[in-house]
Order: sequence, then C-alpha cells, then structure tokens
Amino acid sequence: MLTEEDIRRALHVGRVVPLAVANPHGPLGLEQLAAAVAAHREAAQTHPSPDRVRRPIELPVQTWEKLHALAAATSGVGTHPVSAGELAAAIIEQYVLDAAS
Amino acid sequence: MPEEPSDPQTVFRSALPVGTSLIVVFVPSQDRDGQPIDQEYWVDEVLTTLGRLFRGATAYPRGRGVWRDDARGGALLKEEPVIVFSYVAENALTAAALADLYRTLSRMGRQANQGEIGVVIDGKYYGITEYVEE
Repeated sequence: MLTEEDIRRALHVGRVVPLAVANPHGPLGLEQLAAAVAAHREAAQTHPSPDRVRRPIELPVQTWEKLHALAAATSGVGTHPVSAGELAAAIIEQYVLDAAS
Repeated sequence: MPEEPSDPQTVFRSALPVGTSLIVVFVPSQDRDGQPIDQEYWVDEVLTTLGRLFRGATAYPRGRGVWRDDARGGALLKEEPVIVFSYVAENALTAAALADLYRTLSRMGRQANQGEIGVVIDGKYYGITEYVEE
C-alpha cells in the first residue's frame, strides 16, 4: 500500500489537500467531489500564504500586455507556467531587494 | 422479522469493493489564459493511460462551471472539466504505475498550458505543478 509520501514523489506533487468527500460513489458522488475540488482550487487562488500579501496595482494596458507576452515566453517546456501577475510580483520583489542592498 | 437496510449504499451494494482505491483525474476544458484546449484528445489520453495501467476507466462529463482567477484581475473563467476515474486494485497502485500516469499528466500540463493538474486518490487532492519530461 502506497503512502501519501510515495504518491507525492511518484506524481511530483506540489501540494496535498485532504478533501471532505472521502469515498464518492456514482455520478452524484463524483459531482460532489468535483465541487469540493473546484471550491478548494478557488480558495487557493483567493488566499495568499500568511507571509505574503495581495494588493491591486494599476498598470497601463500596454504594460500588462507586455507582461503577458514575457510570461508566455518565460513558460518554456519542462517548467512551471508563469502568469503575468506572478512575473510582475517577481520583478517588483527583485527590484526592491536590489534597491535595498 | 429482520429490519430491511435503508442505507442506499447497502441497498444498491454500491460501496467500493474491498481493497480498491479510487483515482480521479480532472481534465480541464481550457488553458490558464482561458483559451479552449483539445479536451477530447486529453480525455482520450488519460482514459488510455488509466485503462492500460489499471484495467479500466470511465470519463464523466460535468455540467458547466465557473471560477475566479484572482491572479488575473479577478477574471471569471468558465471551466467544464471532464472527470476521468478508475477503481484500482491495491496491488496495481504502485509507484511505477503512478510514475507512468505522471508522464501523461505532465505532458497534458505542459502542452495544454495548465497552472495545475488535479488528481484525487482516496479522498486526497494532489496538485501537480511541476511538469518534468521523463
């Protein structure tokens, strides 16, 4: 019997989340499971980790479009895809770090 | 007179057979930019992989859904994932079989531009975000 760690390693898993629907049966059970997964994915998108914050910032549309293009170019084969938001955060973080040193 | 069972799982004998695990893979309908992907192709790929590894699998199309991507300014993405599931005998659920499944899922993650591929095994959600070519 495989342990959670065995499964995590074999599937290169980034995170494991226990679901409330342990043993779904039939179409309704699967529907319930899918709803639980969708709710979790939405929550993961909404809540940042405790040591990070999310703040809306305003950018020119052109800048955002360039960020999108840069993010797409950064997301190469074999790497985790990067969103424009993630790329913007990384650029700001690096700039602030460099400015502070 | 003995009391009749009223629990639907008992009546319909629909509980999981002893010694089996349930693997569920969610095949997305669109990429992380909201562009539609060739979902039928990926459903077929996942079905084929699960069938080969675990002797059988079923694809179950869902109703329409929607989710909010806060990383993209709160854009609403309409998602219609297909659920592909397989009941797996305990002795078939091995690290080698999962590594084989991973090859298909990481290919789907890369080629269909996914932020995360979701797999549920026995009530736990495993989020795959690392798409390594093996």
